[in-house]
Amino acid sequence: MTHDAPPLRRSLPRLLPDRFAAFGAVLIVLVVLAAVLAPWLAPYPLDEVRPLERLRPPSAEHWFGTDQVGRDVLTRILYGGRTSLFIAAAVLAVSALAGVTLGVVAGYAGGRLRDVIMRVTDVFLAFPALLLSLALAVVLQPGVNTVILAIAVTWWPWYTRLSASVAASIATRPYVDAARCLGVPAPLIILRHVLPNSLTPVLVQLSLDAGGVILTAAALSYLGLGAQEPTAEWGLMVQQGQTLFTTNWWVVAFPGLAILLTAFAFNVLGEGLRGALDPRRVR
Amino acid sequence: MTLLRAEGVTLGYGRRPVVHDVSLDITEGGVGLIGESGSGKTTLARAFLGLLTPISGNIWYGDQTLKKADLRAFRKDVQPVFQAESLDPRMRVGRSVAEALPRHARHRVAELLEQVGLDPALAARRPHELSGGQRQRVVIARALAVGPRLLILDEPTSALDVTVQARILDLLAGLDTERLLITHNLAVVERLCRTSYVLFAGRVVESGPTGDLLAKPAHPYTRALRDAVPKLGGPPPEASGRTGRTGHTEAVPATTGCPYRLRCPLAAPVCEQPPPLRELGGRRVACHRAEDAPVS
Repeated sequence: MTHDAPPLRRSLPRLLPDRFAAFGAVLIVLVVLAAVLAPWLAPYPLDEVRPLERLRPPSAEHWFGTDQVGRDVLTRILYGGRTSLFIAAAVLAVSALAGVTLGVVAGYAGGRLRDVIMRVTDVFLAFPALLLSLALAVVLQPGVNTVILAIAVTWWPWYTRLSASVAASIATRPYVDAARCLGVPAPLIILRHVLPNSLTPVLVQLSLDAGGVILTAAALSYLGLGAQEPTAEWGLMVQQGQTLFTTNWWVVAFPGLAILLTAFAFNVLGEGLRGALDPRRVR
Repeated sequence: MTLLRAEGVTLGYGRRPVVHDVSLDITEGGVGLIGESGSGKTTLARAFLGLLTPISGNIWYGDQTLKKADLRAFRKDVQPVFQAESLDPRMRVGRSVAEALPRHARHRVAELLEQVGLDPALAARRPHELSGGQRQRVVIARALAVGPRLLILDEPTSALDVTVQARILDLLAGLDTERLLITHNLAVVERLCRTSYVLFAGRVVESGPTGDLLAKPAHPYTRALRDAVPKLGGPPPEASGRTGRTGHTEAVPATTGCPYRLRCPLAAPVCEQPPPLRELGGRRVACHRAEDAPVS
C-alpha cells in the first residue's frame, strides 16, 4: 500500500481491510443487486418456454444458453439468486435470532440454566446436519419454506454456542457488575450490555455461514427436497441439468458457477471481517 | 454505626477459597484495604457488593445478613467505583450515568456530571472519546446517581497519571459518603482512610488506625509495603523482602503456618504454626514475632 492512499480508500471503514474481503463484498453487492433487479435485468420473462429453442449453447441471443425446455439460463440464474439469497437470509435470521437469544441468556445466567440450554444445544449438534435436514425435508412438503426450516433447525445451535461463550466473558466485565450493583434487572442488562457487546463475532459468523447455507440449500434442492419446479433455484437447476452435463454443459455449469461464486464471496468477506475485528488487531 | 460488616468471611471461586476468615467493619472516616495483586482485595469487594456469596461467614448490612436483606435498599446504599474501564464501551456516557435513574429523573445527569467536575456536554460522548480522568469521573457520577451512603472504591486511581490521580482523590475526599477503598497505593489510603486493613494471601495480617499502621508497622509485610514506597530525594527503596532469609522475594504464599514466612526476614520455626490475629498496642496483627520487629 502506498502512503498517498486515495481518499476513497481512506474513507472505507475498517470492515474492508484487505483486497480479498473488499472483493468479496463487491461480489456480494453485485449478486444481491442482480437478484433484486432480476425483473429488469433479465433478458427474457422468467417462465417463457420456447420448445423450439431447447438446449441452445451460449450465444449473443442467450448468453448462458437455454435449458431442456428452452428457457433462458441467464434469466433463471438471475431469478434463482432471489430464491437462494432469500433462503440464506431467512435461515440465518431464524438461526441467529433463536441461537443468539438462547446463547446470551445461557452465557449471562451461567449455572443450571446454562447447563440446560447447552445440553439441549448439544443434542441438536449431535445430529448430522445434512441428514437431519433431509429427514425433515422428507417429512414436510418439499418447498422453499421447508428448506428454510430444515436448515435452520440444524444451524441455530452453532450460534447458541458462539454467543454463550462470548456472553459469558462479557458477563464478567466491570460494566456488567456496575449495572448489577445499580440494580438493573437481568433482562435489561442482557439487552443493554451483554447483547450489543457480543454481536461482533456473530456478525462474522453470519457472513462465514451464508455461503454454507446457500450450498446446503442447493444440496437439498439438488436432492429434490427443496425448491420445486417451476421455481428458479440454483441447486434445482444443477439437479435438472445433471444428465446433460456431458452434452450440454452450460445448463449445469452456469448455475453451479453462481453457487460457487456466491458462497466464495461470503466466505472471503467473513474471513476478512474476522481478521479486521480480531481484538488483537484492534487499535 | 457500621453500615456494612464482614464476619468470618471465606470467599472463593469454585471450591478454592481465596479469602480466608476475614472480619472487617466499614466504619466512619474511610476504611482502606491494602494488599498486593492476588491478595483477595477485589474478591472481598465483590462480596461487599453482593456480587459474590461467601462460602462461609456473613456480610452484615445493618442488622441483617446480605442474604436476607432488602436488596433494593442495599443497592441504593452501597455503590462500587471501579476503574475507569468499567464503562460500557458502546454506550454514551450520559446513558451510563442515567442507567439507574428513573425516567423522570434523567435531567439529573447534567447535575451529576457537574458534581464530579465534568462539562455536561460530555454526556454525548462514548468512553473512548474521554480521557482516563474524565472516564473515572463518569464512573463516580454513575455511582452517585442513586445517592449511596457507602462507596466501595476498587483501585479508583491506579490507572491514572499522578496529577490526575490527585484531582480524583480531591473529588473523592470531598464526597459526603462513607468509603471502603481498595488499593495498593499507601499514599491514597493515608489520605482517605482513618482505618486500614492489610491483606496478604486472603488473610488480614494487620489492621488499625492508618497513621499508626504506616508509622509503626507491626507486621513485617506491612513494613515491606511501606518501605517499598519510593520517596523523592531519598535513597532508592529496598525491594520488599530483599532482606528475607530465603531470598524468595516473589515467593508464593505458604499454604501452612504463616503465609508470609517464605518472604519474611523474621521467619522462625514458630512461624510454621498459623499466627492468630491478636491485639497489640491498639491494633490487630497476625504475626508471632511482631514484638521482635525492629523499631522504625
